[in-house]
Amino acid sequence: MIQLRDVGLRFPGAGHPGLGGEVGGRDGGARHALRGITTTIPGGGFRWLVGPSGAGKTSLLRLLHLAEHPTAGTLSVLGTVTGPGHRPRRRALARLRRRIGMVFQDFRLLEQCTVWENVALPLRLDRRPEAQVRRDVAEMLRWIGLARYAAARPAELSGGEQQRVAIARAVVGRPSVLLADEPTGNLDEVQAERLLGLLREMNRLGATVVIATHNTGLVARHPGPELRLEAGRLVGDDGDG
Amino acid sequence: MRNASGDVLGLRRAGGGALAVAVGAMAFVATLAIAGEGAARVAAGRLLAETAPSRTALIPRPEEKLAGTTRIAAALTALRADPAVAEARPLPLAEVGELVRPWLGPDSGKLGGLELPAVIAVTLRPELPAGDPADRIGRALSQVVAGAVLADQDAQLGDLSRVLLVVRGLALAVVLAVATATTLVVGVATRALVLRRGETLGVAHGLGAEDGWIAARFARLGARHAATGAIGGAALAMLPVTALVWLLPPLLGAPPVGWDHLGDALPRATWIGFAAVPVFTTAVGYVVAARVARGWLGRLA
Repeated sequence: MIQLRDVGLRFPGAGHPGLGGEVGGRDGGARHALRGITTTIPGGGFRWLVGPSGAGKTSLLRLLHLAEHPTAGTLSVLGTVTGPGHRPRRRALARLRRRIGMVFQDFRLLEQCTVWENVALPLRLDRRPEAQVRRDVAEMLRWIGLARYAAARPAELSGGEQQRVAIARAVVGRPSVLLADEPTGNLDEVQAERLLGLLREMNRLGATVVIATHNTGLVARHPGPELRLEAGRLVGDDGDG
Repeated sequence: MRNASGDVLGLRRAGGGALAVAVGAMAFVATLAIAGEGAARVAAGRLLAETAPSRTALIPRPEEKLAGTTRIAAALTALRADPAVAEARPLPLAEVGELVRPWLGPDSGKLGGLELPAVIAVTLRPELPAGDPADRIGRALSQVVAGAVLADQDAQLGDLSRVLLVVRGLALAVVLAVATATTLVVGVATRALVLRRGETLGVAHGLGAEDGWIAARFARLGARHAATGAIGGAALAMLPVTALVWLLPPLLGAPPVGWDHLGDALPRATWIGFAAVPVFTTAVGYVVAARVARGWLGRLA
């Protein structure tokens, strides 16, 4: 389960590399990427995270991925609570991140590693047996249709192929929470539908799934509860929270 | 394709030859400094061994009568009776002239006209129990022959000790400077590698890699490059060290060292110092690289 109670995220100074250009507002020299976000996403829940560019979608996903910590309110992800007055131990955070799959908008594949090594990385960080790593990675590469590129480097792939590798890396460890930031941005319609099918299937199997997009057509074709952000504030919540 | 060896951060592919070469150069210098200190100790030890048993007794008015004999004869009898004295030999006037030649110049041959004390060369037994018996012998001599003095070598030995202290201090300073430079070089190289792999580290961190897991990879890499460089540098330094070991005994007037006794030519502590250079450098590489990596990771959430 994911719970946010009056969560705010504020960056001192004039910029942050993880914001993706989003600006929720300014206060003195500080940037408020998010303000007063309160919602609950139950375990196994699904949410579209929608809003215009710069609304704070990426910032919220970074919070849920624990790449940032709230500067106001409290955030609970899979039972681990973080906030201004409480910061979990770094080792506990690392363990928690291994239970969260994240598809980054800019893929973030390791350029010096092969496709196979990229997809295998979460399993190895989780210290899965090597036999299981080989089996799961091979199965995942087959599923995304990139088995023949297993030995290729990301730079040798097209944008869409890199996106598929990033998705494979996020889901190969069967995470409890799956976060995706514009996951279909570089995919054609067939691949996008296939990906959403996979994410829905992960959700059906019990994973909590949050997908950020500004593609209203995609949301319309796959209706589901939405979290709507505008200027760093939650202006709509179709869920239980 | 299947990189099970764990270089997922691509650290090994980032090279590191320059670090190994830099560390190797410093290990070379440190090894030579340690060798220099050892050689200085050997030389000082040999000089001390040669000079320590020698003393000089000065007997004023040597021909004056004393208890039915002369003062010089009484002094010789007393010295030769002492169990700590191996030999007591009166120096002829010509030898005394040679001793004072540096001060008196060519006129030192005309000493017969001066009223000089007689000089007795005293050699102490080296196998006597520890402790310098010179004080006791000097006191006994002055009781038998009033005004007789047993001169010691304190000033000469003191100078030698000070020279040795300076040489050891310099060697230690060189080793400390090299250790500091090694720490800085490893730190800077690791920092550069961390920055070059910053995005990769961020991704690995985001996927759940623990700080210790990432830092351990940098530590192992730092240790490997430091060890490679240090072993190479120390091995290279063994060429001049071997030459030193060969040349040192003949320079000190001793026969050359045979292959069988090459290890005895320098103190054991010096050989231990040689072995410690790669071990210490490897440890520096491991610890510094780990700390730098952890320091950078600490900036991530």
